[in-house]
Amino acid sequence: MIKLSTVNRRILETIEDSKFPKDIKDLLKALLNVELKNFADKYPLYAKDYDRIIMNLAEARKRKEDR
Amino acid sequence: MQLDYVHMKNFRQYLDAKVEFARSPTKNFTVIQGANGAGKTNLVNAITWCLFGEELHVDSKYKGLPLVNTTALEKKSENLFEVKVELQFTQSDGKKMLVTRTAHYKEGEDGSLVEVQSPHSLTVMRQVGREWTPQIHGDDAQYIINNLIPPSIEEYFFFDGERMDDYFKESTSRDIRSAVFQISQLELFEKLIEHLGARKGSFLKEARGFSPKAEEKRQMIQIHARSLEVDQGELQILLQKKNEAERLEEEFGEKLKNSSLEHIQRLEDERSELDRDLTGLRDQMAEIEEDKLKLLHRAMPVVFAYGALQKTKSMIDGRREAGLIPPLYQRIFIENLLKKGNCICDSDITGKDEYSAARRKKVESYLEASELSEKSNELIESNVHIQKMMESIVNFPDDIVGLGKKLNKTLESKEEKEKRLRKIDKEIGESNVENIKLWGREREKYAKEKDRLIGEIAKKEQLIERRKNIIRACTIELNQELKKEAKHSSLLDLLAFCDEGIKSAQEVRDSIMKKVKEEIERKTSQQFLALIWKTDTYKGVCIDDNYNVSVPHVSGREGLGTLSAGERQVCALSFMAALNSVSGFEVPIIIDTPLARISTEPSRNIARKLPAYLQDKQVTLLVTEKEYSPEVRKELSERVGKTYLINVIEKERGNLAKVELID
Repeated sequence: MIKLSTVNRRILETIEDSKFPKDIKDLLKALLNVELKNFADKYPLYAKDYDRIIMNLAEARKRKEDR
Repeated sequence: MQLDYVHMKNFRQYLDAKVEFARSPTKNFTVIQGANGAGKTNLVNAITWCLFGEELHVDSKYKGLPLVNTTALEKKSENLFEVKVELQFTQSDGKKMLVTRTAHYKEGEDGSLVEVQSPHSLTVMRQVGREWTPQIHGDDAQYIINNLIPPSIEEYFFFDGERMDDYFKESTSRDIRSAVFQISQLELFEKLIEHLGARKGSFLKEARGFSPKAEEKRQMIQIHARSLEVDQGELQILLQKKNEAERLEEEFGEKLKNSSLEHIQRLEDERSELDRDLTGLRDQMAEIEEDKLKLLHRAMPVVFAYGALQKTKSMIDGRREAGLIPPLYQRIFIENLLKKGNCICDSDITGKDEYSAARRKKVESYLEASELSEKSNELIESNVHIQKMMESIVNFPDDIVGLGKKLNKTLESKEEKEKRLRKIDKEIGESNVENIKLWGREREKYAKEKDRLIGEIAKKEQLIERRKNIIRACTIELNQELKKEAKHSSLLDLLAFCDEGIKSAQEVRDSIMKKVKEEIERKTSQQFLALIWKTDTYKGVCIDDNYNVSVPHVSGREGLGTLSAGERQVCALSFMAALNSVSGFEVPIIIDTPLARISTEPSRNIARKLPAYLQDKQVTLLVTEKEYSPEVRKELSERVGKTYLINVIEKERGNLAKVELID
């Protein structure tokens, strides 16, 4: 299976240089890694990884807001 | 990352060939010269096969053929043939990495070659300090390679110059867009946005299933709780009323119990019974009196004469004991004896003889004595009577005392009953019938009121229980709804987070797309204008928002369609070089026959300008003798670090080539 292991530096730099909140930057980077992992799959099973990442970050944001 | 060398063993034309690449920052070009068919493309294929397990630039004449060198087959000394390509890189941190791929073949029964699968066909070794890591095999090794050179963008590093001519003829705007997306990995972002949208849709769907009704339930509980409070208050009032009614019912009942018509009736009945009892007692007393009187009548003469009778009896008993009272001969008995002439001793008393006459006389004397006997008899009889009379009053004292006691007891009973009778008479006499009737009505009224209140209380209690059940059920539902609410809220958070993620991803994607496109456009245009030999003919290369490539002529008309083959190749080369430069990957560039379609003068121009645009890259040019003309050679001389010549040793069969370093 062909895999990509590195996200283009330009993408990472654009994300980092953006004015998005840190958790959104983390979300995009984490999801990009999922996409990298599944790059060669025609029908990748991404939902579980996506849900885990989204929930973790969304809950962390909620906890931070609650504090 | 730079390529140190490629070492090929038994790969296609190469029996055992090693090419070391120029790695100096100033002399970063390696030129490998070879005639058409000598094996230039297969050298590139050796590299792609080693890296990805595929010959990505394979010529149609080699497709499907085993990789193994045919000369090696002829010189076989054993049945198993090994094909091996080894690449060594120097990474940006200065560490070496060695990639080796092998394939093994054996001759089948029909003489054809069959590949023997090997679990360790690919190995990677990395330098750590001065040491090398143990060999890494299979997927892990492939992962490391892909990490450095993504296979999807391989063609932007290993160009096929021959095909570049057709690049803009064959490629649509979609292909161009795809190329930009691939090189900048925006495909990942497209997928990310698509998948994030799908997750958002999933959360949205789930959230719809959790539309919370907690507030509705909470209001319902409040309504029922308030109603319950009111009901419980009303229940207390009803209970108080019931208790009051019960108390009054009991009170009037108590009055009636004591003064009711029934009570009077009971008194009347009791009085009748008492009357009957008294009558009986009176009769009983009369009988006792009579018995007493009879007893007195019967016993009194004896009692009065008891002394005389006792004296008489004593006197008779004394005479008798003294023998003064003769035997009790009955006259008739003696007369019968005389009549029969036979004594009780059976002696003859007929008097027929002397003796008989004597005896007869004696017996006759008894006739005289019989008169006395009569009197004695009377005395004896009288004595018996006296005895009987005296015996008859032996129990008299007890009897008379017993009767007296019985009479007294009866009298007491009679007096008691008469007393109760008088009390009853008094009570009956004092009873107020109107009050009794009133009390009866009151008792009945309060009994009905109590019953009604009991019914009301039962209904109220049922209502309260029902309300409690509703509250309980609503509380359970509320808890579920609260959980749903929490879940819903959490899902809304996720949705909001997804939305923000999608918007951010789109923004990043659009920003990168714009920047990448602009950069590619700028660099392509810049390089094209620099490399093209017709100066001042074209304005440059434009890539519009839909990724349509155009080469506007200075006159304003579109020039892409009228570009010569060489110009198209330069345009494609510029585009590829631009893509490469924006890729972000530090991969050596290998260009196969870059100047094949370009005539001498333009080739010279390209050779002069190209190094400037590929200054920071390690470049390998695979050229024909014609391409690598003295002019080109001269222009590149300052940048070329190594020059090789591929010599076809067995030209006729073309199955063996040697690579020689010539400069």
